Amino acid sequence: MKLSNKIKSTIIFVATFVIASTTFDCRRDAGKGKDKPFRYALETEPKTIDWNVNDESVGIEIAYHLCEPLVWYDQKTLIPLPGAAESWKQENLSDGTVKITFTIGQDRKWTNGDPVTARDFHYAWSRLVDPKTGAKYQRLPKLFGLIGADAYFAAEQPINSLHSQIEKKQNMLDEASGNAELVKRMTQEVEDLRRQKSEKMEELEPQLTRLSGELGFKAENERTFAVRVKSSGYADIFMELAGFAPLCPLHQPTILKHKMKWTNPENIVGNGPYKLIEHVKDGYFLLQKRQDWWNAGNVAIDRVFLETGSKWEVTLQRYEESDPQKTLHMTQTVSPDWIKQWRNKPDLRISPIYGVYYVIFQTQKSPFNDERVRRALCKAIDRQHIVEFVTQGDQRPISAFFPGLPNGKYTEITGLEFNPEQAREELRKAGYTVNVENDKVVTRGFPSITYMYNTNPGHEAVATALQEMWREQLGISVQLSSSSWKAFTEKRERGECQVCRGGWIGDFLHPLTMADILLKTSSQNDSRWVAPEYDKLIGEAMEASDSEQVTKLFQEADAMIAQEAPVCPLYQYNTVRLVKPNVGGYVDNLRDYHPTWQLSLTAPK
Amino acid sequence: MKKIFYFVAVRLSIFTVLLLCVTIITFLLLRASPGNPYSSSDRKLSALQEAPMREKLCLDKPLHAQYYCYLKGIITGDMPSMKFENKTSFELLFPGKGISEGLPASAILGFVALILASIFGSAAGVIAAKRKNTAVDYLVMAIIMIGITIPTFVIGPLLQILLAGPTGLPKNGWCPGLEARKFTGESCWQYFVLPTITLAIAYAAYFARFARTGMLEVINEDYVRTARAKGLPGWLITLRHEMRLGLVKNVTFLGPAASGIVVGSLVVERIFAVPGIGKLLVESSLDKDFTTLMTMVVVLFTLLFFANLCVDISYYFIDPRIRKNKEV
Repeated sequence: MKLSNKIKSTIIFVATFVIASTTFDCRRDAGKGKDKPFRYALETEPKTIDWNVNDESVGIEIAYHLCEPLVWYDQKTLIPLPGAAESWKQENLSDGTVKITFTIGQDRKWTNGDPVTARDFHYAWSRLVDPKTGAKYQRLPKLFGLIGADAYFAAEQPINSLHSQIEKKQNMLDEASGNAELVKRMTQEVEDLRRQKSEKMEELEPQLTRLSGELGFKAENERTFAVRVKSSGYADIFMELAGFAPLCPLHQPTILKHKMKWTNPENIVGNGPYKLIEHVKDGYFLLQKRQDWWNAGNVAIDRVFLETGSKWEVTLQRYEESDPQKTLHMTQTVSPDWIKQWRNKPDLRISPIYGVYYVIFQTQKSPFNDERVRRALCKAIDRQHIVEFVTQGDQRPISAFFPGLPNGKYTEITGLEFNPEQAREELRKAGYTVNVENDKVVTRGFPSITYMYNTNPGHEAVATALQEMWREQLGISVQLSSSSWKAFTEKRERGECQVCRGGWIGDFLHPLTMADILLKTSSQNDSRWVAPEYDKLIGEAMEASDSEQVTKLFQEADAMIAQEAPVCPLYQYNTVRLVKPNVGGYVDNLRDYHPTWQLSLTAPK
Repeated sequence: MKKIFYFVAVRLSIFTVLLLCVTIITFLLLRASPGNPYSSSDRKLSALQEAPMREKLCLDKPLHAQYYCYLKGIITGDMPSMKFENKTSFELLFPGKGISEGLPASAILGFVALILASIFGSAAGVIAAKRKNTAVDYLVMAIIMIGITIPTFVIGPLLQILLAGPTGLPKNGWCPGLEARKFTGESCWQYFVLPTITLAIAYAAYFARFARTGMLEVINEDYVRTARAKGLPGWLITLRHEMRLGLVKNVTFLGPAASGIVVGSLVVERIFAVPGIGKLLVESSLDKDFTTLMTMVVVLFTLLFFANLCVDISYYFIDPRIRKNKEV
C-alpha cells in the first residue's frame, strides 16, 4: 500500500511538472506595450554622452539621438540636409577665404522648451577648443581650416605638447611595472609634467581667451551662425564635418548649473529628435521621440533602446530572440568569427567605409630607405588573396591610398598592383641578386626584416600571409613580431618598426583626411616619409577653388605615394552590422551613418 | 537578551577596527600597484575631470593625507569615479534605480539564490537523511555530486538552452528600469528565474550535503528516540527536534555561502548580462578606477561582515545550549 502511494505521488508530481512546463509561458507578459521599441545593440557602455568631449564611436551614435548638429546627411547621397540650420549659404570673400552662414530654424527647440540659437553653437565650439575641456576633437577646427585656428592652436601647442608627453610617459609607466625604482621615478616625472601643464594653462589663459575671440565662428545674431574657413577646398571639408556630433550645440545654463552631471537623465537638455528617459549602466539608454522636434512628423520610431555592455554572444542571443518586444533590430558590429555564419542571410550588412588597411615602411632606415625596395615588397602583395582567403570580410582590395568617393567627388587612381615579376626586377635594380632556382626565388644580400603588428588574430593572419608572399615571390626572410596595442603604437611612433601594419579611418569624406597622415609635419607619419613636393601638392589642392583641379592634385599626390611607396595600401575597411529585414530606411554608405530618426520598423514577416 | 546586545556591541567595535584595517591595506595595495591613478592610457581622464579629481583625492599631498581623503570620500559618499565623469563611485554601486542596476541588482540576485539554495538544499538533505540508503538518498547524493562538480558557466548556458526556449523565459537580461517597464509592460520576476537557479544549484548541493550529515548525527540521539517513544508524529519530530540541531551546519555555512555567492555572481552576471557589480568590479580593476574599487571593497566587506554577524546571532536563538550558556 505504502509503495503504491509513493508511486502515485511520483506520477502526480511528474504529471504536474510536465503539464505546467508545457502550458506555462512567460511570453504572456510580452506585447503589452503600445508600440514595439527599436532595439539597437551598441558595442559597449560609453564613458560619457557629453557629445562635446566624446571620442568613442558608441558615444557618437548615442549623441545623434540627443543632439542635432547644423546639418544631417542623406544616407544614400551623403549630401547635407537641414538640421538645426534650416538653410545656409556660402560666399567667397575678397581675401580668398570662404564664409558659410547658417540660419538656425525658428522652430528648433531644446527639450526644456528654450529656442536653439546661434549662441548655443558659439558656446559649444568655444568649449570644444578650450584646453580645459580636454575634448578629443579639440583640433577639429584646424582640420577644416577655420580662420584663426592655426594661430590659436600654435599658441596652445605647449599645453598640447605637455599633454602628449604625459600620455607617452603613462604608456611607458605601464610597461615598466616590474621595475619599482623606474616606476617611482617615472611617476614623479608624470606628476611634474602635470604640474607644468596646469601652470602653462594658467599662464596661457589670457592669450588663448583673446585668440579664441578671433576664431572664425560667430553668432551674428540669435539665428545666424557664421563660419569662416581658409578656402573653398576647406569649405567642402567643413560641410563634411558640419554634421559631426562634437559640433552639436550645447545648452549653456544646463552645463553651468549641473557641471559634470549635466548628462544625467534628469538634467540633460538636448536639441535632437529623441529625449533621454532612462539610463541603466551596462543595460540601456531608453529614448523617446520628441513630439516638439521640428521634424517629428518624419520620425517613424517612437521608442529606442540603445543597449550597451553586452558581449557579442549575448547580443547574438538577443538578436535571435523571437519575441518582438525583446528582439534586437540592429547591432553596431558583428564579431568576425560569426560573419561566415550570417553570410547568406539578408541581415548581414557589409559596407565599405572611408578607411584603408596598409603596410608602413620605415623610409629613414635601411633597407626601406630605398624606394625600389618598398615598391618591390608592395608589388609582391596579392591583395585579392588576402581579402578572399585571409580576412574573408568582403573587403575591397585597394592600391590607392585615397579611396574613391561617391557622386564623382573623387576618382581614385590605380597604384602599385600585384606583379611579382616587376617586384623582383625592382629588387634587382636596388642592387640585390634575385634568381629563380628550382622553382624557388632566392634573393642574396637582402637582410632579414621584421614585420610588426599589434596582437590580434586578424592582424596575425594578415602578417602571416604577407610573410609567406614575400618569401615566395621575393625570396626574402621576414620575422613577425607582435605586441600589445600600447607597446606597438609606441614603437611605431618612435620609428622602431622596419615594416609594420597601419590603418586609418577618415574623419570625413575627403582625400585630405588620408593625405594628412603622410605630411611631413603630421604626428601620424610613422613612415617618416619626407617629400616636400607631396606637401606642396596637398597645400595647392586645399587652396584650389575648382573641384576638378582639386581632384587632379590629389590624384597626383596619390600617384606620388604609389611611386615612392612609403605605405602600401591593402584593402578598404568595412563595417559589418546585423540589421533585421523589417528595419526600413537603412542605406549602406561610406560614413556608416544611420540616424535612427531616418529609420522605421515594419511588421516582421 | 542582555547577552546578545553585549555580543553585538563587541562585534561592532571589532568591525570598526577591521574596516579601518581593510581600508588601509586596500589603499596601500592600490597605491603600490604599478603606475599612478592616471597611468593607463586606455582611460584618458578628461581635463574636466582632472582638476576636481586631484583636489578630491588630495593627490598633491602626502600619503597619509591621501588616505584621509579617501576615507572621507567613502564616508560622505562623494568620491568621484575615475572612469565615469558624471558619477561618484557610490552612485555606480547604488544608482538609485531600484534593483535594475548596481549593487541592489547583485544583492537581490544573490539573496534570492541563497534563499533558494538553503531551502531546497536543506530540504533535499533532510529527505535524503530520512530515507538513508534508499533510492531517494542515492538520487539526492547523485544530484549533489552533479551540482558540486558542474561549474556555473556550464549550468547557466545549459539552462538557457533547456528552459528559456520552451518556457519563454528571457535567455538573458535583467529587470529593466521603471520607465522601461512602464512602456513594455513586462515584469521583473521572469528575469530572476534562470540566474538565481544557476547561482543556487551549486550551493544547494552543499546545503544538501551538510543537511544530510547533520541530520544523520541527530536522528539517533536519545532525545529524538524519546520523542518517538512519546508517540509524536514523524513530521513533528523532524521539524521540531531533528532539524533544529541537524541544520546548524547549514546556518554556519550561510556566511561563507554569502561570500561565495557574491563571487559566483560575477560569472552569472556575465552569462545572463545582469548589470550588477560583477562587471563593475572587473572593469574597475582593469581600468584602475581606484576610487570605485576602494568603495566596492568597503561596501562588500561591510555586507559580508553583517551577514556573518546575523548568522552568529541566529545561533543564540537556534541552539538553546548557547542561550543557557552551557558547554557545546
